Amino acid sequence: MIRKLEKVLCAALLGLCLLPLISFGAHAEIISTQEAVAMESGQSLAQVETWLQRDDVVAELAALGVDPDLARIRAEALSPAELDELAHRIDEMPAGAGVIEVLGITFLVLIILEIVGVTNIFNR
Amino acid sequence: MRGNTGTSRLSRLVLFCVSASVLAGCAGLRLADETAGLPTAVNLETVPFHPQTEFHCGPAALATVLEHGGLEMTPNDLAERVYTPGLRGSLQAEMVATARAKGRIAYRLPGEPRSILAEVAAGRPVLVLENLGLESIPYWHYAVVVGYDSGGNIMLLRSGEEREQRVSAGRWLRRWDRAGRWAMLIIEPGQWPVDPDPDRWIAAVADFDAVADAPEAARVWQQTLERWPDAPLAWLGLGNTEFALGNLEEAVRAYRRLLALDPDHASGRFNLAVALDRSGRPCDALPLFEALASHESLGERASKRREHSAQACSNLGR
Repeated sequence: MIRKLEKVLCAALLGLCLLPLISFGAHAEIISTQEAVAMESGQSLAQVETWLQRDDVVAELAALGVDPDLARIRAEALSPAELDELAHRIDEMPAGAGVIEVLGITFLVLIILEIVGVTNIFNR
Repeated sequence: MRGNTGTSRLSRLVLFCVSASVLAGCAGLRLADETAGLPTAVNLETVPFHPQTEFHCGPAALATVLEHGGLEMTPNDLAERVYTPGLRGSLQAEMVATARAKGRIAYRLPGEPRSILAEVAAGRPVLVLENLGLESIPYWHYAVVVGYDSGGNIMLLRSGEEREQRVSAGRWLRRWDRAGRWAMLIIEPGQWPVDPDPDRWIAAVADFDAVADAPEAARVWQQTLERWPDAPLAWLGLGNTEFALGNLEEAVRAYRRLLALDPDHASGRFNLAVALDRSGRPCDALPLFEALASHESLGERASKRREHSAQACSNLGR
């Protein structure tokens, strides 16, 4: 029991020690080139830093079935502009899927047309 | 009213045909007009082919261009980086982000057919997004342009399950046009697009830099500066990579070059001040931070650093 308490206390202490490091690391010491590019296209640094935290994009990807650890890795590779797009318009954005889905939907349309009686492909 | 139905149907049909042909006319593409100064026909036969499996045209197309650029990749390796199950597809942002994560620069080509044809003629396949459906019911699809034939007016693509898809240029243009004319060149560091635009290139390199090793990023900034020695952001990029490598003197030199070109460049001034401060020259950093203290975006950070530099400077007894 005491051991357990010790462990918990140790972890808490370690966490407290690391806290300033984490908040310091939230933005790097210098302005990154990516941030400077975003600022030149009219974004504020605060806005860019919010995007770069990436939490909402990680959550979006995870909600769409991406493994949460993988979602974090994937979000780390995105630029501020891409993060902004994904955070706000992920459902409206093109997601290349391919020919097979097209065939599937075409088939569905044909069936509907057949049932409604517009076409007679399957029923000659 | 009833008697008119037949006529109105007919007139609607005529209207449909006319508008369809007008639309087709708008989107016509004559390769012969677009390829002035380029070979009349190109077919990059050595570009590999990865047939797509269900919904996986993104990984397949990306593997095609990456493997052509010398990276052994299979669509399966890439699927976990680009495929999103809930969307049953791959987002453009993740396609390019993955190319960067694999050490390549993703350069968005201008939305003109000519820019794609010129790259293909230079031996580089081009990743494109197509919309195989309608504007209102889109079917997004990634493919890779690997050639064209201006005689037959056709485009050649690696697409889906077809190793060499031959599509009439007009039909292909409509597919590409409905997908926002998105074309990406996935290029190795050290190489150049045929006709690079400085702003597009620098934005692409800045995004590459964010995920690349610092020495590799520094080389690409050097490459950029050889072509455009007066590009302030390229000097910032070089300075930042030198800073990340711990080469503070080189960083200071690069930031100073930037400020010689653009004396009011806020990020350049801020980063120069940090580099000076870090290399034991807080008294030189102090006026730079002071000048930035009222800056809209950087003011808060500059004020904090100013106090620190002021303290360090007074400790030096100056």
